[in-house]
Amino acid sequence: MTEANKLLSQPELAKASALAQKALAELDRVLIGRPALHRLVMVGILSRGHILLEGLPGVGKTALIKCLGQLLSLQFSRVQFTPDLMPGDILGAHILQQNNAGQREMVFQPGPIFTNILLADEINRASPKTQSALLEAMQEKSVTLLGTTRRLPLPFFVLASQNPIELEGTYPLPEAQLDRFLFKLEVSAASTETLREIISSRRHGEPPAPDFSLAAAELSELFRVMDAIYLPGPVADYIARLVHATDPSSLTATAQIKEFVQYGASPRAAIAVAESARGVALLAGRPSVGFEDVREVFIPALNHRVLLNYKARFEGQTSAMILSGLLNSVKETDLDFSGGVAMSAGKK
Amino acid sequence: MEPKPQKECFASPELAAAALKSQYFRIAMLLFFLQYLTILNFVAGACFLILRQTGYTGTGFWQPFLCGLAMAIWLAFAAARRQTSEQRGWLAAIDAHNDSGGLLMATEETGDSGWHDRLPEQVKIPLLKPVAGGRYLSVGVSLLFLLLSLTIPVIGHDKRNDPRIELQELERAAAEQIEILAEEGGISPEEARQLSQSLERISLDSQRHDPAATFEALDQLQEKLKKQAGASVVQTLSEQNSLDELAELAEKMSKAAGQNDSQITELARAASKSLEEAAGGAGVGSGSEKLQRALEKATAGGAESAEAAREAAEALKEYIDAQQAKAAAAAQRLANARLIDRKTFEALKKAGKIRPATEADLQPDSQSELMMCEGEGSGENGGENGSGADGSQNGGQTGSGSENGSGASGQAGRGGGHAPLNFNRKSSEHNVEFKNQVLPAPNEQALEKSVAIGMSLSAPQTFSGSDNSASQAGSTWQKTSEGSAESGIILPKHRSAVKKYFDHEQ
Repeated sequence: MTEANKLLSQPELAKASALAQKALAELDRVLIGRPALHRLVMVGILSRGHILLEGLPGVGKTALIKCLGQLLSLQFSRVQFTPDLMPGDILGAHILQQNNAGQREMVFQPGPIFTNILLADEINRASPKTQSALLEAMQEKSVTLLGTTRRLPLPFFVLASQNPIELEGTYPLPEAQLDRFLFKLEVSAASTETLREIISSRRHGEPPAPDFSLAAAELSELFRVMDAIYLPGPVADYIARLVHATDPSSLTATAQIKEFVQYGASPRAAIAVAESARGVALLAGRPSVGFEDVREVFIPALNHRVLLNYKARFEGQTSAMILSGLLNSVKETDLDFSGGVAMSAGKK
Repeated sequence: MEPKPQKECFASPELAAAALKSQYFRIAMLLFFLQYLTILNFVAGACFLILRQTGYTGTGFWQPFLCGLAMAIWLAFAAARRQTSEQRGWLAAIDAHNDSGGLLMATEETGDSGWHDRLPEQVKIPLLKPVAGGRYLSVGVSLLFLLLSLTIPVIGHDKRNDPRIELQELERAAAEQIEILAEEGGISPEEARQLSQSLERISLDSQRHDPAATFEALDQLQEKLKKQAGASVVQTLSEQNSLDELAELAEKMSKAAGQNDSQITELARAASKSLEEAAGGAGVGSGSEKLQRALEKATAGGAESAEAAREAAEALKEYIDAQQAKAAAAAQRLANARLIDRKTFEALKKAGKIRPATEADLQPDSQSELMMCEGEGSGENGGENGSGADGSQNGGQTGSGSENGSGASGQAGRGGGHAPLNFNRKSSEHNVEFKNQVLPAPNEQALEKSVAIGMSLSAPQTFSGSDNSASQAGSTWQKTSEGSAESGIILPKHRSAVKKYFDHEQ
């Protein structure tokens, strides 16, 4: 047994898992009524992925991101995306300054992107040119200006929000940029109980400040433990088969995929599923990824990566519906049951 | 009290994986077996159907089918074993079934035992079940096909593959001859049975590619039958002579009645003796009681001897008529069955029992019963064609003798001559050549002087040497010969159509 194949020890994992659970509990305490969403956001953070939140105005997208910024004790920047926002407004620009010697020189002034957590509010209101300024930063964690590449501080997260209505004057995110988000999470309306609790406990809607925050060292330890979560071969194979089946030209694609999907998910999607499944396992206190972890993150990780055709729009099919059907049809194991052997589902 | 472990629960993942593997193997084997059974049924059904259609009459279909069944089981076993060994996801299936979060797989893959206490104590395995609806249907259809292939009637029996010769007609005729001969006492029942067996064996042993041996054997059998029939007829003729003597004695007795008692007594004794001899030698009856009593009275003599002699004479005539009728009927049956040869036929004809057929007998409304008898070939004497004259006259088939008198090449089974058959596969026309005929010389001089002035559809005319002028030839070129298909002026066949075209008003 090599060191690389060794599983995390129980105390080591228990400590990391408790820390993550504590952060999640604090998030649930500050923002009421969306434990599932908070869990996925926490998984996204643990996976060092960017998250896109989509929801109607006032449902708490920005509040969630701000709370997360406070919770993580990291450097936080907020950019309100508008149609006239320019790339330089985000990335930074070279400005002419006079130095101490009295000479004038071009000095780079970093933009708000040079932070740990970037809140890109209403990201779809910026022009494609400005949106594209985030591509390199999101993928390579660096910014290149005038031939000079500058590393961004790590960890670097882009937590973006967008409004699905008020489409006038908006620019839908290009597929390349959507693919860079680990999750696209729907922020739905709050329930009656949640609303009652918010009204009664929050004056002017201001959430309380978190009592707990993750230090940079703790977060770094969480990332280290995340990297040590073991991904068994059959689970990796399951992820690969699931992602491959989203391609309508693949032999394993379901009839629904072939009918409604124009383009399937990319290899980056498979990586995203595997990484986020590790986050779920960490939260569950397990040293290995299981099939149920994959199933939990599969739809949030792929629903913005599968491009539907016009037929799906006409028939009211959504990515989540199609991916849910795919999860039901693809078996977890690669046992060949095509010869007429079926595994009973209700005999557990 | 500890809970009783369930059937699908196992103490370790390894045991659970082995159990799942075994379960999968059984189901896979069942499915493969159904698949191979379907194929076997269709193949076997097709083979049986073809065999039956091609004339196979045996019933040994089940032995090869059972062999195929055993092979299908073996193949299913091998295929299921191979498929089971190729599968790699046993532990993953168990992990997923137990919601172990990948711990079972991770422990197995890494060999790290640090998390054994977190593994489930009782590992459950998923229940596998066969999904073989289509396969069951296929097996059912194939079984139905197999049963049909064994039960549906054979539509067309192709006899081309039967190696035997079709001898039904000859067999039937020979069997009829044996039966008639046995009924008429020519052969004993035991001999008849043996001959029938011989006939059956000849038919069974016949080979299409070598018919000569079969026909030769049939000829020998028929020869034997004819000899027996001839012996029977000779016996009949001897009886006929005895009956002639009796008839003469009866005539004498009739004349001597009332004149000479001593002569009557002597004649009566002679008649009794002849009657006993005839009865003892040929097995015929010794006459009626009336005849016996009349002969005894005539032998005793006395006042009533004349009356007894007359009665005895009448009884003798009745007896003789009955015996002659019986012998004639027997001879007629033998002749109808073509069992008597020409000599016998002549003998019977001389005895007045058979007469030659006349024109009246051959009329359709004639009530006469025609009988046919074989002609006697004259190949022994080397006749050019060797046709039996009397035989052909009476409807017998002729045998042909060769010119050198070396023997007739009679047609086997068709009433050939009595000369020995020639089976050396050389025809009587061997080395025979057509006679050359000298044709008249062509009129070459006329051809050299001829001038082509046109073409005719008729055959070319030939002219004699004195009548070879070109002008005459030219004047007759348009006129065809009588035998030509065309005659008169040659006109287009569509003349009327052309005429109508030009006569049509524009």
